Amino acid sequence: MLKRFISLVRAEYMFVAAEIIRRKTILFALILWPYIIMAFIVLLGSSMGTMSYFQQKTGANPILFFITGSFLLIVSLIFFDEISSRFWYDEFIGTLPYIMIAPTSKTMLALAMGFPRLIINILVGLSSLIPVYFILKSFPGLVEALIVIALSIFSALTFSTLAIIFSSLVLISGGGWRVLSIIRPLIMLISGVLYPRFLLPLTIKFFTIIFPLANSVEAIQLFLVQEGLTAYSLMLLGLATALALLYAPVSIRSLRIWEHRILIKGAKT
Amino acid sequence: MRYAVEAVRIVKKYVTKKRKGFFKSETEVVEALKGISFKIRYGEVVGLLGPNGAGKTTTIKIVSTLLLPDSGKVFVDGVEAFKNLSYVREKIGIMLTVEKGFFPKLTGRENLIYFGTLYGLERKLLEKRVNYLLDLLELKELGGSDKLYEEFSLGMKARLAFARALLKDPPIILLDEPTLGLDPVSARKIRRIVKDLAHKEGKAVLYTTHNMFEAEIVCDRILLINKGVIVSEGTPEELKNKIPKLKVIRAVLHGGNMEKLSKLISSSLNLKPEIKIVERGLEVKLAIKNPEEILNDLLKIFNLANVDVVSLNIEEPSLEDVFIYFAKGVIE
Amino acid sequence: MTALFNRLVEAARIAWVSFKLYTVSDIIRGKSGIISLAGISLWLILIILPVSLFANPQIGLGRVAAFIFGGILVFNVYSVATWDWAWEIRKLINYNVLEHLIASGKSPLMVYLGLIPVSLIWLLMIIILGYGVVNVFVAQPEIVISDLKLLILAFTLLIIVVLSYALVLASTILISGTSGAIVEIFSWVLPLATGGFIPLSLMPESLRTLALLTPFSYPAELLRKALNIYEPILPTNTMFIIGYIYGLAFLTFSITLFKLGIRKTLKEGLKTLSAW
Repeated sequence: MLKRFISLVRAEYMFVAAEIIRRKTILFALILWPYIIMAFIVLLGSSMGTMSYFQQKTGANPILFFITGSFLLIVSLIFFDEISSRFWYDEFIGTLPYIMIAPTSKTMLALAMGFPRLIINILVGLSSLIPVYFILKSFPGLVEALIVIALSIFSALTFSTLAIIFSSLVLISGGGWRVLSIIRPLIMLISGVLYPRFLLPLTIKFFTIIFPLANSVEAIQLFLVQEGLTAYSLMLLGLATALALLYAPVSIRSLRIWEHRILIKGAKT
Repeated sequence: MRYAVEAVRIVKKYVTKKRKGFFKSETEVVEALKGISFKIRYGEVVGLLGPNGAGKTTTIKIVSTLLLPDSGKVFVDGVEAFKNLSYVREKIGIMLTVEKGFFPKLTGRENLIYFGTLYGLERKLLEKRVNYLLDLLELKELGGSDKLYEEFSLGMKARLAFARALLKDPPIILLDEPTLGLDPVSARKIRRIVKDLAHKEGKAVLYTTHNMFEAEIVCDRILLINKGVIVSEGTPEELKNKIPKLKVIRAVLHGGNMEKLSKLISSSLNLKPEIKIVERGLEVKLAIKNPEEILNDLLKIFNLANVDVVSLNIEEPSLEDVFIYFAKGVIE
Repeated sequence: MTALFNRLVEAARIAWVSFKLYTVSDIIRGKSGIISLAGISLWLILIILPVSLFANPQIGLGRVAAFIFGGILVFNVYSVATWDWAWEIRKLINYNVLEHLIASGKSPLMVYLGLIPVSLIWLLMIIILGYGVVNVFVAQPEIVISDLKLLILAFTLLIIVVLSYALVLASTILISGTSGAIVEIFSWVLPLATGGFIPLSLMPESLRTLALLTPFSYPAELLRKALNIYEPILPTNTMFIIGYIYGLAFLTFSITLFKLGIRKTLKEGLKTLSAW
């Protein structure tokens, strides 16, 4: 089973590497993205006030907060982005029927699809996280950056099962990018990546408890503010893991529902 | 006897929307397959022959487990297909379209490796198989092995799609119009391999086409499908024998008047000719049981109409005539 | 003279047909209007919330809201240019329509004449929605139309500039085949670096010079002046004259680039589009 999974990841890696390396502009965009998001919000916010007001309200340095947030976004949303857009792309270029006919579990394949980009995005993300942490915090910053990266991978993995459920919803709805344009910002909002969870209205905050990504993101943000992992942070990470396991059977079921839908209407050629 | 494929009373309906103006629409149910049944044995190429929209692709998709039928059952290698998806998918190789279905930024070899992995082939075996197929389909020679798919010609795309269908070395191969739009060299190559696969390696092949010539030379047996119904089946010869024993007189004439000629033939021979203008003059076609009996009278009529006979042939019905006969009920 | 008139009539006819097509497929039959609006409002909330954390608690929320609304206004004009106009080329390639347009002997740009009014209808809906979102999440924006004539001229200039920008992006898609990544980068960087959101007076010196070197800053500054959000960095008349000269030059450049893109397509064939 593991051998099979690794061979699928290798095959998917071939596809991802070809798309990224043979179209260099995508690699360029990946490197720039965290900087752009951070600069966008910090500059826009600075025109309206100051960074110290931000620090007063959240306890975090806005540059670190948003560079980490945007890195977290490109890493944590990988499974969601990859699965929902890849199967759609497969439908568009006509490869979907041949993928459907493969005697491979689609859940295993969906997970395998996420890994190559997860690895690539982490490597590329080093170009944003490491320099910024190093400039702002010198050598201790490097260690912190590495811990943030490790926690980001943890976030991505614990979010993967719910991400599969969301991706299946996007695929089942057939709404393509329009549905994506709702679910994506909704995930970003609920996860607290760009706006800390503790500042959200109570009802939304309550709802985010069942959202693994929101818990792991809060643990990372607390790590940034308190410069260490507290018992509460560890509890949040544990909660994220438990939720990920809880969603696992639903994620398998949701992909099967999508597969069944494709069987009813027929995979487009 | 265990059949490679056995379809039992398959029905498939599609619901489509008919637009009426900007805001209104009406749902319409199109019955693509109306309870078709057929069997395919190992070692034979079975052609599914029919006009556009007859239900060929729907049939292939259902047999390949890509589309659920509304009712009816499909057995693949003796096993009920939709209850044993993994088993069935191990047994079949498919080729659905010629012009797409691969990743544009991967080379021919990389694409095959990707799909082979998905199909569960072990790495070493897969590489060996990919090399064999690239050789067999002359893709190495054509440069398709290391060229990006987006740079492929249509012929190369078809060869690669065919190679993918054979990746698993499956005992059952389903090909949906595999030579559509191909150059004669590529088309001939694919046809030859298909015949060899069935006759030398004992594989079962379901081959859809609307090319009569192709069906006649590739297929051992033909299922004629029209409007979701299998209207007839048999070997090409058997099918030709099924239509009324009519032969066709085809004469090309120089000079003369189309209307006058038509009237003369109708009144003298009591037959309705089909006359049309062709490059060399007028072409007269007559369908009749015993053409030899009217030949003299016909020549007299041509003489009377003051036309020169450029050519005159008596033809046996072709598979195309069979196809048109079953599709329209007439020999044209 | 007659030939020119005939060409104009033909262009108008193609524009009308395209307008009808996009209205029917995107607005009437698209069924996606509500979904798109919901998505846009979520994105707006996502940007507004963190940005509002920077605000000085002493400044009136109405001023903050006006700032944010000004940003939303300009950002959405950019978004329409990016996702409706530049992205249209990707769709035309996807649906195999672009080659037919080229083969018809008419410029694919004709299609844009019909698409622009449809996009403007969308834009109006989004701006109203943005106003509502700011009202709910921040406060009622303190904006007043101080000069209607200037507002119209500034908005027209903004459309000219972003249309040119869209054509540059579309040309990039034609030339490189990569779409999402490039488009996404541009759609974030440009409005930010060129004063789309922030009044030039509030920007760092170096960025301000950079912004003034691009045609984008002028309509944004004039719009803020017309809506009484912020005073432009240069006298209004100077901004107006430079803005229009620069804007029209940019339009000419972008049309030339687009034609080059088409010519490259004819030479090398259409590029396949990337997965992202």
